[in-house]
Amino acid sequence: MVGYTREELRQVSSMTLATSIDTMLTVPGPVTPPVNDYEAYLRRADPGCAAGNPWVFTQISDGDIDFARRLSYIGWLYDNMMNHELSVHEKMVLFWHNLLVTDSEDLSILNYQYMDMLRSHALGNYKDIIINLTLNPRMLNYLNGSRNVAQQPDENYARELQELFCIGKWQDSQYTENDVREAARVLTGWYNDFEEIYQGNVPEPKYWEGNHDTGNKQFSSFYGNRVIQGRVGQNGGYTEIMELIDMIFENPVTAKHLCRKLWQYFVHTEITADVELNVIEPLAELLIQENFEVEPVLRTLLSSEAFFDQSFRGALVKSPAEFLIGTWKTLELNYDDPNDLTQKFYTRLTLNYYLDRMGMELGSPPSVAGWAPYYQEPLRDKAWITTDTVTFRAQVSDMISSNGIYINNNGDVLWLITDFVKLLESFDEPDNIDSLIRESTLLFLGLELSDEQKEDLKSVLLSGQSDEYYWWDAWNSYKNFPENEMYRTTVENRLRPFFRVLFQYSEFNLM
Amino acid sequence: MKRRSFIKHLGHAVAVPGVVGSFGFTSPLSVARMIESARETNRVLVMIFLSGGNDGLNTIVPLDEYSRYDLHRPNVALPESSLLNLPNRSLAFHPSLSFLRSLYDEKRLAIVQSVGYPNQNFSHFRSTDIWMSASDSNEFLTSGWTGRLLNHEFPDYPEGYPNDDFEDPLAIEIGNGGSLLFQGPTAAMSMTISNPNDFYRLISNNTGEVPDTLAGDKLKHIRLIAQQSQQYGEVVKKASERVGQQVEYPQSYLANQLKIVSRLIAGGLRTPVYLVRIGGFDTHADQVDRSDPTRGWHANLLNDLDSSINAFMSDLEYLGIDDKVLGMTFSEFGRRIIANASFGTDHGSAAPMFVFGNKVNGGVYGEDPVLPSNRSSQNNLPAQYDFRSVYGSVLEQWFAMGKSDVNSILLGDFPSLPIVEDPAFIGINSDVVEMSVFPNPLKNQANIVFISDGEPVEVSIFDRQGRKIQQLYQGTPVSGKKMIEWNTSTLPIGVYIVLVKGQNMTFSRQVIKRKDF
Repeated sequence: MVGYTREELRQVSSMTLATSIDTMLTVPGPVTPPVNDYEAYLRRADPGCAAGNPWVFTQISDGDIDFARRLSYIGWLYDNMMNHELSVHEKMVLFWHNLLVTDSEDLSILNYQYMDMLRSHALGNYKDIIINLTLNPRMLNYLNGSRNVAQQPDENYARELQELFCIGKWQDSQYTENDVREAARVLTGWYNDFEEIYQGNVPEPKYWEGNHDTGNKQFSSFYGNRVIQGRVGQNGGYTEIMELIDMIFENPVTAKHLCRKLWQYFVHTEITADVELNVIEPLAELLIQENFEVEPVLRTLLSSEAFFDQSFRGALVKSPAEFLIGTWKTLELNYDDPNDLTQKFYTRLTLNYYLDRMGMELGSPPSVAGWAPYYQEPLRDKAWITTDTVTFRAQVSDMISSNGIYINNNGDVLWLITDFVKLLESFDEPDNIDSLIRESTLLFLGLELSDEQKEDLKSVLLSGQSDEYYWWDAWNSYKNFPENEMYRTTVENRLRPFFRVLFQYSEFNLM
Repeated sequence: MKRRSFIKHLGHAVAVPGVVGSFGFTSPLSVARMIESARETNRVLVMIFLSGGNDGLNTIVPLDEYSRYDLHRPNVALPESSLLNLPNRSLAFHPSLSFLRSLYDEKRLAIVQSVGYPNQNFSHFRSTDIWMSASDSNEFLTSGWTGRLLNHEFPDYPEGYPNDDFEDPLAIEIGNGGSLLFQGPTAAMSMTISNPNDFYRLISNNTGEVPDTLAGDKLKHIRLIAQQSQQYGEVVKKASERVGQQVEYPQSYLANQLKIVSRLIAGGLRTPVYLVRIGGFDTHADQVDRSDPTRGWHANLLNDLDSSINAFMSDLEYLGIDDKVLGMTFSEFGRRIIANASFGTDHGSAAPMFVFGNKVNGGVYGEDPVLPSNRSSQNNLPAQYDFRSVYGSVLEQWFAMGKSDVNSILLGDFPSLPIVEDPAFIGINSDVVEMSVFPNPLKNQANIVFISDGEPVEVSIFDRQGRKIQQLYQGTPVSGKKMIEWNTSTLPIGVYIVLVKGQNMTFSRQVIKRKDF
């Protein structure tokens, strides 16, 4: 979950563990593809697609139009993240995007098609994803598969397929430089036909036999000295790729690689010997036994004792997406006018700017290894917090708790106002300060606050008074006379500084 | 890295008042006063990371090997007529590097040929880690060499920092990512900024007890960073505000970073190390334009590098701090000798490094690369110099470190090159028995012992910034062992250099005074 509302939290709390895990593993229905919301930005019509219509698989008339569509694609990523249902699905989309990286610096339709592939397999089959990824047109461009020819192989994809996507860089990842070279030879012969793509056809990988290396490929003892027979004919390359992926998935390190990555993503960045033995190994066995279906592994992980171990509570630093989009979701902010496509477009563009300043531009990990805090030892998730980002996070949270989110709407200023009163309406006991702090902690913080911090918060809410009755009275006065402007303003003026302080606590950066 | 382009395009569309911040170009401090404050600053090392693996063979082309060069990379080879030749050498610069060529002519650029390490690793991430951590190919470190350097100088950091003795950040990287380079054995030693004026007052975070759990550990980290960002933020902002005008820089991500660095140095920050980045050197495809190999992706990158360094050097000169700064480029690896069919080159091994600055001993270090005679043989350039030799030379000659300290930071003994023309302290060698200072760390009183040759000699104390703070002795002792007493009871906590300078000899020793003594 990237953020949740009070109501969603209440729903989950009332479920049995089994039911809540079923809920979390729900595969949501397909999302609507991105539409032409960029005409105001472009300052002209798109001949390939009318305003408001989905632009996917339509004619790309020129580069400016494609660039506008890319921005629209980024906005679509935000929408999906902000509108997700009660399920781990969206968080898994981000997991795959960070593990199997491409960025958004390519034709809009290729970016979309890549992400759509990850979305549709997010709780599906690891091996299927890798097969799809290997021949995905966006990936063929991103890691130069489309330039990889028999005469002069390009090793880029062959290397990352092993180093990042499947085998990893663990102690037991013992593939060799020669395995990279041989895999590159297997992968020769594929390319994209851009003319077809520009015309609006569904992009699909093309194969030209003449560019395929038809010699035998000899792999190292790490892969059991496997030889992949060189093949000719129109299906030769495809057959070899299937054998290559079979070979990689037969190696037990691949299953462990995914399970280690899932552990680090969902629970804790460190893999102790105990975790390796009691969590990773059984999960990897399960993954192999289930033929690389991810759902059973997630089910086991999410219901495991280890997952609920109190010592891991609050032990991850929120990524910028979890920080901003999560807060957005919990506060149920929304577009000022959901039918105003231009406003939606610019709102999402601004959010993308904010996220980039925090070190995480959605859709564009900085390198093929993903965002550094997901892998760079020894800081890992701590690295989201630098002297630069920690102050920017505070600026953004101050903005949310004072005016709301500032949006540059095509030159006009737009504030998406935060409605804390509405938030409190969803609480169990908004007039009880202890309960108010407890419920706010559940929604926003990774850790319990100290007694001292709670006292500070109380004092802020009571404007320096100590009698809690004042708050009870303020809230109930408002509840009894919701139309009374003075009562409402009184409540709002207490809640804004309360949440400003709450959001500046370091605990707000943990989850 | 191409990733910046989105945000660059969006810059105007989403500029947000109060959140984006901007440079204050209005502060009216005079250049003279600025120069004055800059004089107090330390020697500075500015590292430029060329991320992705720079193609050394197209950066500096070996002309003796031109026919083989053309044979191995017919689609990316630069035409001989387009190259910028080095006088009296059979080497030439890429046509985009005209400013670096002029730096070379002025003896302000050192080219170190074929720098790398044994058992080249071809993974970006692993090889970047090796360069940043100064490890062997098969050694896995989680600290950076600069992090260890700073930890050596400031062993207690971050506890008790900033303080009156050192209120400036120890290292600054521009951007928003923490790099392995500055990771010390236990703490990250650098401050990250994207805009020196863009600091923000945080509500003071409760820094009381944290629970003894994993979450408590993260909480402590966030609080400490938040606290430091406040204190260092003020210092950085002030330094930045002290500088009025700067020369004009080109519009690029790298140039903007160097502009900030120049501003902070001129503003009087004593921060000794800076890291800036330029990405996109992973030129597997379209390294060169298909119709004109002097143009294309790599040419654009080198042009950005060249024009950014040009502006940076002019600015340093304009601000009067050009003698204080040494620049160094590095990249995780070079690229293959043989080009691929995508008009690009794959991950390779050794490549040249540039070291630049007024105090550089300009010239070419090492032999020119030799290319294989046919295409079936070796496809990678062997390394002539270990990259740690270059780091070590900088530590020794620029930062005046003793050889044994250098070795402890680089975790090994690497021969040095005479890269710096005017080393901080000539003949420095803390291992020689001709001179010693004890006790070290210092207590209230220290003894300086050296072997006199009967000629006039001076004994002086310098602080870490190279300022002479005390002259202890001036005279002509008789030949033989001479001992001088030094009262250190009122000396502030910090690192000092004791220099014994005679007619025919110069010795120095680095000493430290710590809190506990």
